[in-house]
Amino acid sequence: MTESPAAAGSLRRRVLLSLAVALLVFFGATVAVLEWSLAASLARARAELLETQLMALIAAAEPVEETRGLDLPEPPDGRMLSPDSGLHAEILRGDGRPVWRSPSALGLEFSLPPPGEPGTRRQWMQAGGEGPGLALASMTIDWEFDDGVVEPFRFVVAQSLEPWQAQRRAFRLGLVGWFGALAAATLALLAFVLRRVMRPLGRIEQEIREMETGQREQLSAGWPEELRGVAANLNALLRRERDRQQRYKESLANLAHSLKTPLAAVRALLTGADREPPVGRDAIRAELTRMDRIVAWQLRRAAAAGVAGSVGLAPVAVAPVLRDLAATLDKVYPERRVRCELDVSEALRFRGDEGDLQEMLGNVMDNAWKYGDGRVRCSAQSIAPERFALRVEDDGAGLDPAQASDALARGARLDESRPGQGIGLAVVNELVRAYGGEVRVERSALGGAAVILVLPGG
Amino acid sequence: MRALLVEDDENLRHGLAAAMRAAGWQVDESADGAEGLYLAEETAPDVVIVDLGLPKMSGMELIAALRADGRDLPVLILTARDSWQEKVAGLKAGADDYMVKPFHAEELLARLEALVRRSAGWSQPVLDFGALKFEPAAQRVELGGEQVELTSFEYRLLEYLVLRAGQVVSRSELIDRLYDQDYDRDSNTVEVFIGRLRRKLDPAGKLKPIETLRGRGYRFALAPVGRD
Repeated sequence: MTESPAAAGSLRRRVLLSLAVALLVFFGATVAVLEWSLAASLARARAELLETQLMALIAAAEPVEETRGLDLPEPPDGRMLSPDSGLHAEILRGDGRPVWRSPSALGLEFSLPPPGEPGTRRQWMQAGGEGPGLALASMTIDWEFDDGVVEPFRFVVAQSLEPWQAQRRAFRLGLVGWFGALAAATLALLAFVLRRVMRPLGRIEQEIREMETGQREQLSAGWPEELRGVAANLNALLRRERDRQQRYKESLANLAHSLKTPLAAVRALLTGADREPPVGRDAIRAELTRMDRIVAWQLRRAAAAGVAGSVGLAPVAVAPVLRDLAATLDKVYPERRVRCELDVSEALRFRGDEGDLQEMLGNVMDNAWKYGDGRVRCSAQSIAPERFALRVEDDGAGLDPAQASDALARGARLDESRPGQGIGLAVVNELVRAYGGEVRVERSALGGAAVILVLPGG
Repeated sequence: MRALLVEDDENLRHGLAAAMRAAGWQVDESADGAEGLYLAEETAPDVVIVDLGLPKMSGMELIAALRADGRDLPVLILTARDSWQEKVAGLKAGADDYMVKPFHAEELLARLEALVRRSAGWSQPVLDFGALKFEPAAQRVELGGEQVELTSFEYRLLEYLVLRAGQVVSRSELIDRLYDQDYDRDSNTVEVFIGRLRRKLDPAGKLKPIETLRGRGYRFALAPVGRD
């Protein structure tokens, strides 16, 4: 079934249309059932009434001994005397010859079924041509005259169906009228309720439109309970997106600005290359190294900024990441022959991105491999619900507190003779903090540095 | 030593190849992964340098194909992405070392030396033969504690023999590894350089570090000390 664009386009219209159809079906069926039951009870009442009138007719009949006939000097119901009253009566002999006929039956023809044995009662209908039709009842009885002669007579009562039909018409009209009014009122009430219920949706739409045009930064407060979650999530998403954009903008600006100084230096050096004595390549190389480190730092920082608020990630098993990194480092630094102890439960999970975990642990373990003296220990312990501390220790020279805070802060090159070091721990610090954790550098029982990362567990 | 350099950036490839040739390497160059794999199988290099982002066949695929072929020659990957995820993935795929762009050519050369040394079975940076000591990373040779001055070619020739200490290396293998392809194979340059090396490494004529096996080639004859 295809839906019309109008119905697909508006929830309110959909509800009203569906309800209108439902009401039509429900009220239609109700009217039909009520009318059917009314018709049944009317028919019963009519049959009883005919029966009563028949009995009254029989009771009012008086014998005419001379003609062995019957007469009705005083009809039981006055209506039998006036034409068009709708109530008629007739008395017939056993052979069908009429002995009496009510004045109201003038010009009427009754179509009579066979009379049957004495005591037989019948009721039937007679179509009225253009008129409303008749309901008839008859009874055949044996009349015993004073002289003991018994003659059969048939008493017939007929009543016009007109009043009954009028009653049914009036009933139906009333029913349809009331139910129609009720349905219309229900729909109107619902439309009103829907308008009220839907008003917050319209407001959200309006506010989003305002945000698109920049008139608004956030959805306002005071939403109904059902929309509160949506509004809060939408606001959080917007905030996160705006923060991220802001961070990217800042990273880009920082990158561009910080590259300008070494670029200017290279340009100055190249200008000086024409002069005597010419500037050495080393100066240009130093500037290139500086630019490289700036790019590396800003790139990693931007990556760290990207994880802020990355919720809903599948938890990552920590132990396999540690093993992979240890295998990688053993391959890269085979001369160092590092003996690495892993004391980390297989069940330990990190709540975040696997690449970020690799980045954090990779940098910390790389330092342990490089600066340690061949012994590294990685251990973990749970320190709070959904929080664990990962400890990477080595037996090298270690870091004093000043060196540690310097290394954590930013691009401090601790050992010029070993390239690559400098921003590693600072990147770890940025990433860990983006996950709401912290980095501590302590003295290890092994003799060297112990780097502790506090991270969200899963 | 023969190296295969697979890198699609022409400037970087040319620059690296020039630096490597200046250091005495024979370098085959390729700009895409498929050709790189072909060359790796044809030229049997001592080391392969692969960029990860390559046309036709990625660096990872190239390494995987080499390893699937059962070739265990050392492979160094070059990558612009400085992430541990990438490093772990590359080394898991079969690479032996990685370098993040940009880098100094000197560091690459040192890493290549180390890779070749390790693949020859030397895990320590100094190859100790008692009186003679070699430090490939510094291209340094010491005789009785004194540094021996060698030309770049002399050093290459010696290094090739030393890394295969105890094995016979044929003259044609040496020519193949140390000269360009258009080298005149009938010339007697190898003999001349072997003669010079003997004079420099064994001025007294007692040590006899390089043996000549007539009709078969040469052999570095000193026994390593404390090799594992």
